[in-house]
This record gives sequence, structure tokens and C-alpha cells, in this order.
Amino acid sequence: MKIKTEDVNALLESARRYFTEITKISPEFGIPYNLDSTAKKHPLYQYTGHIGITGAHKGGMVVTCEKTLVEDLVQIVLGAPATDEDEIIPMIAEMANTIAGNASVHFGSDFDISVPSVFVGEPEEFKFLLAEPTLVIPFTWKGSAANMIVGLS
Amino acid sequence: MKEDEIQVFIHGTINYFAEVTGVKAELGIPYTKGAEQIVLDYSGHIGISGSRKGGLYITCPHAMLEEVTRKILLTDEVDDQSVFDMIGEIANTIAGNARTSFGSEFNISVPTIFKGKPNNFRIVLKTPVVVLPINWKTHQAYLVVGID
Repeated sequence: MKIKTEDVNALLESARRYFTEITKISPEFGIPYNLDSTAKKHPLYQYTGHIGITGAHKGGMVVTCEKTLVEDLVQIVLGAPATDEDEIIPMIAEMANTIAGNASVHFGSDFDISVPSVFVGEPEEFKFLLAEPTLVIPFTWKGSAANMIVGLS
Repeated sequence: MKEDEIQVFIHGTINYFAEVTGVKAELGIPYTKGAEQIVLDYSGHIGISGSRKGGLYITCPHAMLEEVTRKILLTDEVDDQSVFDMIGEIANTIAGNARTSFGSEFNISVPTIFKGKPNNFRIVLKTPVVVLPINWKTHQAYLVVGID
């Protein structure tokens, strides 16, 4: 399903709201593009939070970011640096869950979201099956890179 | 997850391989996943929402997936993209079959599929996570399930 402009704006706002409510620092968004699954470089960074989407819309949404972004979030939220992955993984999961939850307000009550799964590390290839085109929304927050990736069937 | 619910996934996996390949899979003894990495060459992940929440993934070696793809597509010539997509089809079908037991409120997302198993790559599901070893012909794969 092609994602409409108002849907993209809702996704941007969902991410912006997450960061500004928690950290007061807004992310800076790049230009969204459609994922080319045959491209050599996939859009995943070191930590990825995945939310499955069911209901009227079927698909998936991930928020993927550099380790420094999650570390900075942990520092702000917990008030101390992350000492191990047990603090980083719940943070990326919560980020994906909250941003997807924010987006569900726009998409409506039939936008049912799963609990987050977390992917650590970068595989060779990645894609949502049956949910193309898949939209990639790049952004940076405090200088760290991230992507929000959404595919709906 | 209760024992009879684990059986749903065991029977669903056995039936899947028997139906689509004509060769039955054998399931090893399920166990609770620890910190170890369980990722093979291809992985297909499904998010679950509705009456149950969580996720599952199936992970297979290349040779196994290539052989399954050949059997399903009824051809000896399979390209890399067909093999890659097949891991999502398997995850989707096994999760879809489970829906017949868990009920229509057991909602499954589209598959997210991965190729590659770099040392640092892991898929972290909602705990506790149950691992079901799958033996099909000479190959070993895993179905990994984390639902509340």
C-alpha cells in the first residue's frame, strides 16, 4: 500500500512527539524514500525495534538507530550511562512501541500493534515481505543517525 | 506459553513441511531460550497482536531453504530472491496455521525477513522464549516463539 502524505506527516509527528516529550530535543528529519530491497546497503543500524501491525492495516514498522542514540536516551531517561545491553534493548523496544502507539492515533483503532521485538546487529539483507513499497524516513537526533521504516499491505 | 500451546506450533510445523515438501519434519525437544544467538542464514519474523502478544521467527540454513524452495516452486532453478522470500512464506504459513488453534483474534503481521548471520546479529523476542528445533531431511532449523 502506498503511504499517503498525511500518513507520512503523522509518522514524523509520532517520532517528534516521542523525542520532545522525553528529551525536549526534537529529531531532524531527512527526505523519506522507498526502500529498494535490492540495494547493497540495507537501512538497519545497530539496534532495531520492530512492531508488527495487524488489523485494517497489515505490515510492520521499525525504528533503527545507531548505538549512540540509544545510549544518549538511556542517559537522559535513567540519569546514568547504560552499563550493558540489558538497559539498551528495553529502551529501543520502548521507543518503537511508543512511536507506533502515537501513530496508531492517526491510523485509527484498527491499527493493532504487537509488542516490540528487537533486532541487534546488522544482517546482510532485510525487508518486509508482502508490504511494499516500504517507506524509509531518515532522521538524526543529537547527531546520531536513525531510520523509521514502515511497510503496510 | 502452556504445553498444549507449544504443541500447536509443533504440529503446525510438522504438517507444514509434510504438506508442502512431502517430507515430514521431526521436532526436537523444546527448550527455553537463554542468551545464546539462534540465527542461521535466513530468518523470517512475525509480530503477533490481539488476543496474544509477542512474536516468532523461523531461522534456516541456506541449503535447507534452497531445497524447500525447489520443492515448492517445482523447479531446480531457484534464484536468491525466491529463496530469501521463501523464509517469509514459511513463517507466515506456520503463524497462520497457529491462528486456527489460537482463534481469529490471534493476529499476525506480515513477515520481516533477514538474510545473514553476522556474529552480532540477534533477534530478541518477548520473554520467556521457547525454541523448537526442526529436523528436516539432513538439515536443522529452529522455530523460536515468544508470546505471552
